[in-house]
Amino acid sequence: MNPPALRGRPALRGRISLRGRLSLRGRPRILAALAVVLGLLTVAWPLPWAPAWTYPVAGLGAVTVLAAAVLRWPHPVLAVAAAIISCAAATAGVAVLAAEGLFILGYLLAADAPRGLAVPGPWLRRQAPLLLAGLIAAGAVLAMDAALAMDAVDLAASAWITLAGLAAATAAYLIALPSRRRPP
Amino acid sequence: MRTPFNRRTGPVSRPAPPPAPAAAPPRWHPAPRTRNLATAALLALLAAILTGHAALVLLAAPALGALALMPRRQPPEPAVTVALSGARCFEGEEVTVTATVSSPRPLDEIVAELAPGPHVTLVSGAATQVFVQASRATATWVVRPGRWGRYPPAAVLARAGLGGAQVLIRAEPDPLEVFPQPARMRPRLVPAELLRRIGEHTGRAAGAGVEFAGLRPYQPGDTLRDVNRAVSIRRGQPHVNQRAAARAADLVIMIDAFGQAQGAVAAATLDLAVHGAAALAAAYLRVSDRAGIVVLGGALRWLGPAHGTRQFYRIAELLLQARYDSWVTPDLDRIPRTALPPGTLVVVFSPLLDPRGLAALTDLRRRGFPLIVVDTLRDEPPPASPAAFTARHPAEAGLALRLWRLDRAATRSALRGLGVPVLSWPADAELDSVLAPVRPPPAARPRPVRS
Repeated sequence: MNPPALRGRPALRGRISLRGRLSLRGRPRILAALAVVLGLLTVAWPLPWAPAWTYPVAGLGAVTVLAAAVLRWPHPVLAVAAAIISCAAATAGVAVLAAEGLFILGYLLAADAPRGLAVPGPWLRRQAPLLLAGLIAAGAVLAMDAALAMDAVDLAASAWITLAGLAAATAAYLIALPSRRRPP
Repeated sequence: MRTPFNRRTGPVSRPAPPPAPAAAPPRWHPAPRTRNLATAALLALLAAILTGHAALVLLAAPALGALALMPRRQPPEPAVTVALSGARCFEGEEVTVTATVSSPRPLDEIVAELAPGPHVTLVSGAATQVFVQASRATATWVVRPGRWGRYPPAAVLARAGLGGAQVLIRAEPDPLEVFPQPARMRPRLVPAELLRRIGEHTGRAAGAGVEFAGLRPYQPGDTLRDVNRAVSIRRGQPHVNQRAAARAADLVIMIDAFGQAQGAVAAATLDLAVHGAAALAAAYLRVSDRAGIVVLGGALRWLGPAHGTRQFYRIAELLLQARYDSWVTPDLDRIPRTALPPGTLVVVFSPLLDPRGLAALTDLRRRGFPLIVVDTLRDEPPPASPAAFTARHPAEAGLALRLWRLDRAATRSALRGLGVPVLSWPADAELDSVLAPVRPPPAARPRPVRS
């Protein structure tokens, strides 16, 4: 049962007015620009250490970054996939890869900003703990790398281990994320 | 049902609404952000495993860290209510839609998105409104319905997110009754015989109106204000002016709503008829006349002539359900005398397509009612349909169109033979100018005496 019609303008808690704000397809320019910058940085960052054949892949990733920002194409992870391919083929060091991981996190968070957001400040503050968590995780892996020399670990020593790792990662992904539900 | 305005109201039968499918309760599910982060981490881990390059885990580590920080406990589902500022309005008027999303716990973000209906325009308010860290959010939009009918003007899609989960809820307000906006016109079309009731039309009989009706010799009791001095001096005896009585009129609007319930042509003709009926009813009710309506189309529905603003709203409500798809032929004998008084001027809005509507017009005319038919069909069948047939047989396609035109001309001619003027309503004309050629209206035909 709907409540009776409201009279006047009710007091809004947490309401963010959009009037008078310039926006790019409903998203504030600053967030859209941030998403584009982080996306392009994500795609371009490993290129100096990557072979030439990864450049077209990075170009496609840049296209998806622009498409996600301008046309609201809801698949920013494709640009991330292009960056991961470049990183996998590159000879970059751990510091470069750690920075790339943070760029990926930042890009995915910025690309997920709500479209009708008028003032980005409160929303950006809500993302700070996630960025901090990502920074801590990257630091932990870097520390582990410094202690254990991860590059010395031969992950492909056994085909069975590789297969088990792939299956475990895929199963964890599918269990954690059930099938997508369509909007009502 | 008895009301102070008319003693009987036609059976306003509404088709039973189809049973609404049982909507599944909204459930929380992973948000796109969670999915993207997990997918990116998975891709990085797969790359590390497949290439044997363990340092690629660094690509997945920040995403996994952010995922680990997201709360996993699902809160109770938020409640979404959508309310309108009013239950009814006219076309072009603004209505405020207010959506309220409330949750027992504060949510990370609440996004309320408005999806206006097909004929509804968003006037003010951002289509998508976002609230950050709120347990109760109220979004307000102002919309403008552009077409009459009874429908919810918009739907609200609310998305509430907390941690890595989100829930999508679609809510609609109660249906809004949008009345047709009556065009401004003057009620200059009156029947030859007016009611013996005070109104604003000039009657034939002498009375206490304002229109000059004639001269007669002075009689004791006449007021000195009515003495016509010029005529009195010229004729040598006092003469007074006579004035016509101001009478009220009865008007019954009839809508031929036969035909297909769907389709562009059916919608256009009905839209024209509804707007014409609203304009006529508003014009006559504004000057103390009585107006009624009869809707032909499946079930016969009527509203007896009455006066006042309330009658206009009753007519408008009846217009909202004018089309009722049925194969029933209406029986005009069912209409009581109070709903269709003898001698009442009847204005019919009809596309002149359905033989049942034509039969009803003929029946009415033979019963002695002065009739005026306004043709609401503006479009001809497209000569190039179907295109393949026209391409192969252009001559036959043109011939079919000519036959259709001849058939319509024959129908109009038959009606004119009965003394019923048929008026076309061009797209660029007001109803007032459309009805201008029939002023004064045709005289009432004497009802045949049955022996």
